Amino acid sequence: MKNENDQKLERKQEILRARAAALAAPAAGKDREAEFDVIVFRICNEHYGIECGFMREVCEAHSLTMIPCTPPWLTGIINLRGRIVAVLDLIKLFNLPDNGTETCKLAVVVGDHEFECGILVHELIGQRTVFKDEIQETDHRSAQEAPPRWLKNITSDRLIILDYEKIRSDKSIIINAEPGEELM
Amino acid sequence: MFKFITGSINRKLVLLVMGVTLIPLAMTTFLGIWMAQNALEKQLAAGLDGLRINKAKAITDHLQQAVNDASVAAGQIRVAKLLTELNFDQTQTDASLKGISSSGEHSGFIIYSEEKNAPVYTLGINKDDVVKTFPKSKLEEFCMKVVKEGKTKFLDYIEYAPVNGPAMFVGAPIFSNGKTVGVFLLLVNIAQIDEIMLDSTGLGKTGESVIIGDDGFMRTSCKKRKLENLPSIMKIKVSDAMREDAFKSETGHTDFMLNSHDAEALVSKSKMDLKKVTSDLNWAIIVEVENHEIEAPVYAIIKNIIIASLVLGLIACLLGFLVARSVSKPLISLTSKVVKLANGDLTVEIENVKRDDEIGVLIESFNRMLFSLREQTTKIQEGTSELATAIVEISAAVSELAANSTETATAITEISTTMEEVKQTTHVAADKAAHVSETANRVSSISEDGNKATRDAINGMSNIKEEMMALAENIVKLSGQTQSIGEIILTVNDLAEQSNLLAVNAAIEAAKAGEFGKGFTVVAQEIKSLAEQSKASTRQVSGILNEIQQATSSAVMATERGSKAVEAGVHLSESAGEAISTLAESISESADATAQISASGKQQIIGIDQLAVALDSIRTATDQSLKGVQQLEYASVSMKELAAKLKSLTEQFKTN
Repeated sequence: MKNENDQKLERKQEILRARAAALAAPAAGKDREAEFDVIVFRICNEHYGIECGFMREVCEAHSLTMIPCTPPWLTGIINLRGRIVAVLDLIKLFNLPDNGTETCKLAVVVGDHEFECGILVHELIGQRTVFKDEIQETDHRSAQEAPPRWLKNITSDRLIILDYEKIRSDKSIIINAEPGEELM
Repeated sequence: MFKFITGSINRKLVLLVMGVTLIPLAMTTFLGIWMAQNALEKQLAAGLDGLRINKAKAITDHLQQAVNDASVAAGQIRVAKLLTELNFDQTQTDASLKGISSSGEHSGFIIYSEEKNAPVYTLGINKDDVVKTFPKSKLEEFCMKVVKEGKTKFLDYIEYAPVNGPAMFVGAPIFSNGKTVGVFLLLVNIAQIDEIMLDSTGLGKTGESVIIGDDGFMRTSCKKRKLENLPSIMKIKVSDAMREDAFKSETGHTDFMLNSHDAEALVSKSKMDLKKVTSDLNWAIIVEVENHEIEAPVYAIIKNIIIASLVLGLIACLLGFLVARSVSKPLISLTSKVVKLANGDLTVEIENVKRDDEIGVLIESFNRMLFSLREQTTKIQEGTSELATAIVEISAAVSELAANSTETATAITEISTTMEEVKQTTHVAADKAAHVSETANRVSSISEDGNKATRDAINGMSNIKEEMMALAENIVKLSGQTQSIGEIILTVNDLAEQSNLLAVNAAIEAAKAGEFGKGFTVVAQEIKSLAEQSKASTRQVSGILNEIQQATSSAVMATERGSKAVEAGVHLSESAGEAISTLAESISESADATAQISASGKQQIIGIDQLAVALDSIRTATDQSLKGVQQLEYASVSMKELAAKLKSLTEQFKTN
């Protein structure tokens, strides 16, 4: 009985997957005007993307060193081939809805020659190209449903593209406090 | 009255104490009085004796004086001359003779002339009266006697008219020229004698002393009569017994007797010794004191003692009452309780008295006895009711027994008829047994074949079991291998992820390289798709592996079940074998048994005959037991009555 139910469920999922592939294929094959390439990753149930140009690399976040007297969204720092990189937790920083069961195994490192920081992610999806016709206006979405500060664009398939310039220019993530001072 | 005293310990004790006090008192009193009386009497007797002797001496002296005076007077010449010379001068003579009685001790005298045979001269007495009464009188006789004997003599008391009363004379012969010419008659002063005797010094109120002559008449006055101015001399006579007693001896003795006034008196008496004076007088002297005077002090003592006794008796009574009350009070209360107890009331309570003596011990012991009695009675009552119920049960049981005995008797009759039938049946059973024996032998050989077949089956089952064991082992191994396959798949999955990561990083690097990196981007894309493919493959493999694992698990379980079933089969075949061999054994045993049955059937017939005899004796025994049970029934009835009596007896005691 149970097995039958499982089999039914699988069959349904298979059908859905096939349908999704059928729908996705023509878009990829079409000659469209490419906007930019992004690295797609997942935090909780949302897919986020960052332009490839601002990416440094993706690494495993298994050797995090926690820093005392820092805000809770600063998970820690990692040694990335000699460079010290701070790793942020967007869940805590933007109070994202979190089921709390999954652990973040990977860190996406962004930066240029001046600035560098890591973002904890649940899963790395991969690289993709974002086309112009995919991008929606930010007005279409409610401000509450997405990170308000770092948002650049949202695609039609709900990919939230983060703006590196906003990350870089965000003063609130710069920690410069004496011990005992109230933290953000 | 007697019961009134014996009915109460109080009165008894009072009486006892009184008796103990008063009896010795009475005895002492009696002894004291007796001794006092004796001593008094002895003393008085001695006093009386002394008085008697003194008085007798005084009288004797007085008489001696009279004799002497008479003799002296007679011897005077004047007197002789007076008689011999015829014409003597009366007046002259008077003058000369007056001197004789000058002492005044004598009343007077008479001179008698033998020649004239008449009194010729008197002094103190009228001569004419003398002369007139003289002839043929006692005095004349006396004068003649004196003349004849020629010596001084006494004339005892006579009634003499000239003195108008009693008189006593002393006669002395008057000699002249050797010849008796006359008699000098001296009139003795009897008043003086009377005075001596009436002197009651040392005699008390009733004391008296008199002189009596041998004729029993008194020679001196009786004091009592004298006080009443009655004459007693020669008028009163003492009793003959007194007279005889008085004249018994001259030494005298004292004892009690009736006196002349018919009163009990202590009397001392003796014959008077007058030999030295004269032999003419035979007198006795009597001194007496009346009893009531002697006993007056004794009576006084008795009176005092009686008063003392009464006081002592009263004190003894009071003491006795106090002592008796202290003893009897608890006893009386105890008695009332004991009376209740005797009537069967055991609920009485006696308050303990704090006494160390026997009464305290008695009350305490009584309390203890009461307590134990109460307990015992309660137990007896309980026991009696239990006994009664038990007897009721017994009688019920006996009735049942009687019914049972009757049933037994009828049953025995039935049994004996049944036994005849059994005898017949036994014959049939013996025949059947022989037949069964044959059949059993046949069955025995068949069961032997069955035995062999089961042995083969057991061997086959053992082989199957071993095979199953091997199968199970293999399947377990398989299961372990699928586990390691799972691990390998995990590793492959990990590798795929790593390569995905690498592909992304490569893509990033390629993007950084710009136009130069485009080709590399394609490579990275390819790597990424490879990684994704391998990941999909691992997913498929792991799905297949899951199915395999499930299959092996169910196979393991199936083999387990199979091996268990095989084992059960082995057991079953073994027990079948055992059953068949047991069957074979029992069949041969039953063959033996049937042989024994037929043999025992014969014995049974003999046994049944013996049984019939035994039944007869059982029947007689049952009859006897029936009688016995009837007796038992009677006995139980009488026991019931006995229990009822016992119960009524114990119920007389109240315990609550």
